[in-house]
Amino acid sequence: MMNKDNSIKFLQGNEACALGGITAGARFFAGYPISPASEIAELSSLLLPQRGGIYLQMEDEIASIAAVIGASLGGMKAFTATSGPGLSLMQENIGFAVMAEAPCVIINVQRFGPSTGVATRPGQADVMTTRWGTHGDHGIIVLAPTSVQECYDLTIEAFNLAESLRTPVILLTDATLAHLREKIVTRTDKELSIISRQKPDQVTEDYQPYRPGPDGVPVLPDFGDQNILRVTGLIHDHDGYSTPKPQTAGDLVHRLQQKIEGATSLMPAPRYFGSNDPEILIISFGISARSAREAVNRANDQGIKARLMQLPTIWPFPEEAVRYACYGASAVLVAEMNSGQICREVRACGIQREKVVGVNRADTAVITPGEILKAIKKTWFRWGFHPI
Amino acid sequence: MPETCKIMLEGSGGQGIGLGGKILAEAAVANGLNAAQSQSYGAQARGGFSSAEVIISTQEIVFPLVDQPNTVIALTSQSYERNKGLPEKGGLLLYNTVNCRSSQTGIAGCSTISTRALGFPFSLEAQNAGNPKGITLLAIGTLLALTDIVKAGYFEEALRDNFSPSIAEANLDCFWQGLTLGRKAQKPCC
Repeated sequence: MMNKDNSIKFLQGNEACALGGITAGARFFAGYPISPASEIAELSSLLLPQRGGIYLQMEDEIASIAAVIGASLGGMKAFTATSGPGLSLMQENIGFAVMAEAPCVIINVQRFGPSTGVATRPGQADVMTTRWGTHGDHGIIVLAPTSVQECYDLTIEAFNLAESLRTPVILLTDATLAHLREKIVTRTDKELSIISRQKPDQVTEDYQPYRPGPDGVPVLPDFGDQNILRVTGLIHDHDGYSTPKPQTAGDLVHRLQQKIEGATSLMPAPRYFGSNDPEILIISFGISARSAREAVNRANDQGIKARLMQLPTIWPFPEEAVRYACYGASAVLVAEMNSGQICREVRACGIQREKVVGVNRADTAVITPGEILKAIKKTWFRWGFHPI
Repeated sequence: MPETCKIMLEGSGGQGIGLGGKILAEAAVANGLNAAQSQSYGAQARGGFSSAEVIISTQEIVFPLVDQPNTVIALTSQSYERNKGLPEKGGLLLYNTVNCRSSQTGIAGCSTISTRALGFPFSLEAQNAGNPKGITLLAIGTLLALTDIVKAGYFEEALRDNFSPSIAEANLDCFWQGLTLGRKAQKPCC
């Protein structure tokens, strides 16, 4: 549904992801249908051909990510969408995209459970899979929207980061957000800041594709350009030739991590809601952060000094911001629809273990504002605070 | 209308519950309001229990799912049983008298337990309109006649946007029939 100037739309989260990708300049999608992600493929199959783009339905998720990497190396902005079982299949090639520095966006619409779980119900248990699913030390960027508007905005952001840093970026949504419809405001590419990868501006004989710039990101040609691009998953030198030299291996793996870890200022910063001097801090992401925000509103209304820290960037984990936000609070609740994956990261930031409490739900249902409010109140009274 | 209307549409697969909810939410957005809509998704599409949630508000919708509804359209007896206590909590319940029993029967085919629980023969009316699948749109018509959640004109426009012209006409007939039911019901029995 659109208004007269077409900028206000009423869309599903999945539709907003597809539209965001196309607005960011994606002209290639390869995927394999899976609940609850299929509408992203469906809308892409409709819109991409209208814009001179390509939609490919592949035989499985391994082929899907392989085709996306190929399209990306050929110079296109490319993406795919899947859910947990498909993400597991994609892991080997996500590592290849990291190593080959192939910018691409993978949208993972989380559904419940390990294995095939419950296909149509939400979960938030792929947090660690997105970080450590592919083998080896590597940096990765994972963004998590909380609304249909953010599905659109953060998909665009995911492409900008992928192109700036020449890396795969994962957008982590869930089944509820995927099928939720909300009002969103869309923008044209001219109204937005759209980033496209840098390419070499001249052909030189001694060109070394993998010699990094000051930000650790190399300026690579498209595959097939006059400047030769050698692509490999093996450790490689600046020319792209594989080598087992310890110095080269160490430098490359360090650079691939550091170009991500050193660029956190480019990534969406945490958002805060509620009391400015909180006694209780709630950390959350995705659809759970919507429940947490409502719970914080209700807690504030009852005189409880609570604040929500919403994480739009999950990886790299915003350690400094979390440490700073936790500093003044007496207790930290981490609300998530898994058994405590972000909670573990918060504790790893050096926050006192007993100060951090998980508010978890892992049973196919969305964690409710009432459940989080109950946990806030329990903590508030346990720590001896009383409503103002 | 309360500041935030949390509506549950409940019926069975094939009654157009999901699409009805989507159209209602689209109409609300066209009406300048905020809206969020979601629906049960799964085997329900094959004939079992089906539901759609719609939140319509003049304010920003922070939590987009319905935790406690204040308005329910119950098209099946199970839904009626589950929600019959809603009026006591100040909510509004519209139910299908063809399969939901109630103790009192009003005029014009309208049964009433209280001013907040209103029964209408929605399936019969949809059948009479020659469009049994239009039952949800019919019930929404009644809801919009009884409340001021969304102006009927916006719903008509949103409905037309969702169907080909010939199908839209048949569905509009159902919606208008629902509006008529609601308008008749307002004074004599509700």
